[in-house]
Amino acid sequence: MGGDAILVIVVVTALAFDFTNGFHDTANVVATSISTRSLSPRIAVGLASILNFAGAFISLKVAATIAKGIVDTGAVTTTIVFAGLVGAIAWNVLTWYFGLPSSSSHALIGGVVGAMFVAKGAGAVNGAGLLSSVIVPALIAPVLAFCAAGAAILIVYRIVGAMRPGPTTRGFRLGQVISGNMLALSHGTNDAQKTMGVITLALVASGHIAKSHVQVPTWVVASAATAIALGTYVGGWRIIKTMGMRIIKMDAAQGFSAQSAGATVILASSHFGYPLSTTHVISGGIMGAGAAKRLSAVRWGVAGNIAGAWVLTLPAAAAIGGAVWGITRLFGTGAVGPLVVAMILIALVVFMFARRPRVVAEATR
Amino acid sequence: MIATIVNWTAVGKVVLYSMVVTVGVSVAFGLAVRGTTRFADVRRAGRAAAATAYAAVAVAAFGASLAAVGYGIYLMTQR
Repeated sequence: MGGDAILVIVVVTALAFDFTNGFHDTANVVATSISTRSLSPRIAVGLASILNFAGAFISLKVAATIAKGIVDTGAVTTTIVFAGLVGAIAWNVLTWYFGLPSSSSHALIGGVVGAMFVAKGAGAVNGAGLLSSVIVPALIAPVLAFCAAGAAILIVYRIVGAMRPGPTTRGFRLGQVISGNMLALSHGTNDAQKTMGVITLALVASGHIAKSHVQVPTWVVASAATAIALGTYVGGWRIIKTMGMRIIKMDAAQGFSAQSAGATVILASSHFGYPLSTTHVISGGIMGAGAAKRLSAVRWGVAGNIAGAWVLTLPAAAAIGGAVWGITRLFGTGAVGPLVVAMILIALVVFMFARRPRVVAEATR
Repeated sequence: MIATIVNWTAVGKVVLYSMVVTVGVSVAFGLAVRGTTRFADVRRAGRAAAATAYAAVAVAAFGASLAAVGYGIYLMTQR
């Protein structure tokens, strides 16, 4: 009975994380389209939401169970998964409040690593796995997208530089509709998988799915797709403003280059089995598209704040995940601890949402 | 240590394909925009042969861009 109650709490928390994932990452796929007026805000988030939903169904294979190769997955319990999810949600909400794009995948891995560290000790965390699967990709992703988008915009300016600006801008706005939609679709195929993996892991740990025959139930796919689509539709307008307007003031050709580089890098990395964070990729792409035109076009102070949030994501989510696991244990091994923590989390999220300064784009949506 | 634990073959492929495809798509779509714009300009000037050539460039380049998109969607379904 207690195990089932914890499982229900974990499933609901995983879907809440999925919602914040979509909410947080709306900016990744729509910020450039909105800022160059390729699409209206309402249509941009509507399309991104639909494509994230569709993307979740395109690839039904759970590509990566969370924290695989980073923690001892055999020792993971439902309470550890819960604590990791709370760490990730708390970090996502905090970075949203400050308008900073940060990786939801890193937040989730950090949360699980922190909870695992406190629950099972340092031996349950694989440092080499953390370095190879999280830290090195975090360095490669933005640099690669920066270079790809930079090269793309230099070539594009070379090809269309002497053209009349009106038709050229209209052409690249049309291009952004396509590149932005590709970005949204690839995001759905990547990120909804994480939540499906978490819920499936919890179902296996609780004995509802046989370890020998792990298959993602249809209700898990449908609920994860719905949660990420809803989160995307509600949209993290504070981060959209940062990515669309505060890093660089971009034209349609730059937006197209940043989105094309982003979609290509995400697809290539998934295809060759070296997954990279969508947030790191598209942020790097936007900076590259700006810096290639003129180095001073990038507001490096804003870029520095974003990089700071990336560096802090893993340790901060780990600290919250570890603390949450400790708090749940104060109430024993039953469902009371997770329930108390869930109530505290809901109260904190409501408080921060009520206190948030309004963003103009949100108000005029 | 990093040299041994990172899958450099996968990293190399990601870097190579990302750069080549991004640049390729940008060239194709850039040519599509240029071809379309120039087609309108030369057609207004009454240069039928040049207009046909620019239209052909625009159609071929746009077709190449769409092919890249189609291949991307195909890759997503193959995971």
